[in-house]
Amino acid sequence: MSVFRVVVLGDRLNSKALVTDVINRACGVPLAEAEHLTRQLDAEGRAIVGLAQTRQDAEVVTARLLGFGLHAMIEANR
Amino acid sequence: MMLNPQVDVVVGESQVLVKCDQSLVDPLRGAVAELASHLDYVQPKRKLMDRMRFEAAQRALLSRLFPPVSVFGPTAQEFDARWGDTLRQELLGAAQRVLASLGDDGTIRYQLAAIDDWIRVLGQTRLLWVQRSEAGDLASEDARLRSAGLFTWLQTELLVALRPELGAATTG
Repeated sequence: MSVFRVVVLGDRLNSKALVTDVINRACGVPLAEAEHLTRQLDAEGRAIVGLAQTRQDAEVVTARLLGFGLHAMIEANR
Repeated sequence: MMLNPQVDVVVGESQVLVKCDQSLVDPLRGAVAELASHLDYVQPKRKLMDRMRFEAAQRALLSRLFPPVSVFGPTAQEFDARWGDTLRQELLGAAQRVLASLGDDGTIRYQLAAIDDWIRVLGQTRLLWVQRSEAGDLASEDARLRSAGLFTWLQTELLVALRPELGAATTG
């Protein structure tokens, strides 16, 4: 079981196109799934975009997301 | 800034050519230069009070650009210690390259492999004026929202030219 999850928080600033593109490319998520996660983010205010076995792996993905302007967070995957 | 700006984006095999209204050049250049100046730890000499004001603004901007990654303080601080400077320097480098590529006539030629510089910088520059809870709006009477709207519009034009399949999605 993955120990950490990477969560993106919704905002009003970033376009859906940008969010979808970044989740797709930075998290290695297929485009259709990235579109689904973007819709979920819009509806629920947050979406889990990745799971990681180590904190270091979670940090790498989180840093990529932050670099593109998304608000990403690391949570314990309980 | 203008209400109906125009831009043409041509994506080639290895290069992206952008032609935007000449009237956008100064606003773009000024804003990205301001972002860069707040990311750069090497600063010109300032009087004490000016320096304190600038450093406070710099800290506030950095915390908007790279917000805490955890509600658990130590985890957020450890991430910041490991990644904070890298994120700051990468964005500074991107902003400097973006500035260097922006021609006086509104023409931009950029390597396709590095076009993420523009995507990142257009997005992050908006945080000079607005919070994440605010949407940019080209038609707003509020200059902050209008400026953010311009940068969102240009970022989206670039993105959709690069990846037409993203065209269906517009707002977040």
